[in-house]
Amino acid sequence: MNAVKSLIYRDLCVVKKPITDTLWFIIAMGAAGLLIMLSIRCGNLRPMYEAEDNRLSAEFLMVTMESSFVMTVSIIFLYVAAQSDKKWDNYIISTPLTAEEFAWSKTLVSAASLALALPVGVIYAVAMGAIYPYGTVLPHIRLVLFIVSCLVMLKSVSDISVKYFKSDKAGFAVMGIIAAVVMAVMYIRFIFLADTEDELDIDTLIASLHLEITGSAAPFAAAAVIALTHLVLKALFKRRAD
Amino acid sequence: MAEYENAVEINGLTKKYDGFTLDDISFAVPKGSIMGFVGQNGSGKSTTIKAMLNIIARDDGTVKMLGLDNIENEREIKEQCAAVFDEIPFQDALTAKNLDFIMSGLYKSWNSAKFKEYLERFSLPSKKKIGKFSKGMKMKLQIAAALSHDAKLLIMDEATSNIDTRLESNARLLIMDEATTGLDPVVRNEILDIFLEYMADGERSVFMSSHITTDLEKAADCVTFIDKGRLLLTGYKDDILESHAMLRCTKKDLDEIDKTDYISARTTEFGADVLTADKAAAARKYSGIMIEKPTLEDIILYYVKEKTSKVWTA
Repeated sequence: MNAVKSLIYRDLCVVKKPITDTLWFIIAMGAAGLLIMLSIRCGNLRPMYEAEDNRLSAEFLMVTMESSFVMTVSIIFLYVAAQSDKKWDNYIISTPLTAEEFAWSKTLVSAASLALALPVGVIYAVAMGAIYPYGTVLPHIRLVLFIVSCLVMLKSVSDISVKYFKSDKAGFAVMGIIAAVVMAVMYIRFIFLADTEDELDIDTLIASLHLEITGSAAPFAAAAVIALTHLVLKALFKRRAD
Repeated sequence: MAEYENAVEINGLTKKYDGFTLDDISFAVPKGSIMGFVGQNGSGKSTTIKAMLNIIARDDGTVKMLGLDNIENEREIKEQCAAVFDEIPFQDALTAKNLDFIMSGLYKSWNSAKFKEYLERFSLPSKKKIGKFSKGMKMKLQIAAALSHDAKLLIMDEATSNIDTRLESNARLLIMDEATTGLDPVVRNEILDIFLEYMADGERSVFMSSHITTDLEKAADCVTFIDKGRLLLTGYKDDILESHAMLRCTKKDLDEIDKTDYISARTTEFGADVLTADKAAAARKYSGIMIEKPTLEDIILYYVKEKTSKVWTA
């Protein structure tokens, strides 16, 4: 148990920086969420939102977005719990640590990450709900927030990519493919929701891009699966052949 | 802990990879000695050390450390063993104080007081991030961690290049991985002083892997050479140096030397240098040829060359 405590403590020490990054990411995601809500509520999409069928669709998208957000927060912690550090791995394998202790420490950190992500998601949803009735914003402010959210999103992808895949190329390649597919699906869906081509003006486009950005949380979810798989494999096959 | 004569005993160790096989390696590290484990990059040194530490699963053979099987008694052995690697394994975000807490959970015999003593001795700040340490400070920290749990066996992988003669006496077991490479002389001397203290009771052994032979020639009691995954030579360094001889002769003399009498020969424009493993026999048989004592580096080189060509040109 002491060894498990030690490893968790080590993970928490190492995780400080990613937590800071995560906080920025939460702010960016919050801004993106606000933008999407305002776009739907106050932009050219309002008629679409007010139509009963589309209202359901829009709210479905909101739920999806919030879920993505929770997933995104979870993911970063999962990533940290699962991150590979060959030098450290080799070192701790030279200590009396057992595979079970190693697996337990990672499992507990992962569980704690998820437990932390859920209330964060709830707080986020409550904040969104509080803002919802008062939404109105100037287009250029939306644009600035949109760009900022994009940049922070890209930074987060880059961080995860470099740290987890040890290369921004590999990470971006995998995440890029997934993101492209998700964005394409969401874009097609949005065009379908917009109903006519005339409604695809700049506001609609910005709103759709917001959705795409939100949708790009999906690659993080994919990375979570990869990270989790890696975690399990690492725990099970600690003494893997090089 | 069981009574043991050899701190490390490896018999028939085999590990197969695609394109590389560690093939039937056998050697022993006598208790209280320094073993130099020598080979070129990619010769299998790190694979052997990983198999010793059970970081990789071996395909065949046995490994005993401190008298115990390294798999059956893994935890017990590792409690008594410390590894020093050339690359610092501690994350930059950690501090020495964090490390003290982490290590205290990993080793039952972790001695925080001793660790703090080493920190003071090495002038290492306990609350500063390791990422802000110099390379020398990081290495001191790793060594402080290695020596703070009363390890009976210290493994240093690729760490021998800067170990000096003061290590010659009282070694127990130390395994190092390029631990002192790149350190300035002052830091290196400090570290070597600590090692000297560590080995002073004559019970501990040191296992140092390296691809550099000159320092080992001064420091090691025993040496083991491997090349391309195969054992070339193992034994006490002095015995190896005494039994081998370098025959300095002409090319014509070389033609007259029985090929079974030497390991390999190097020809130059001035003549030939021939390494033999039986100095006494060579002295009797080729009395007209000048015989010199080879260096460890010569011996390794000639053994390695033998694998490709019995006679080679410089």
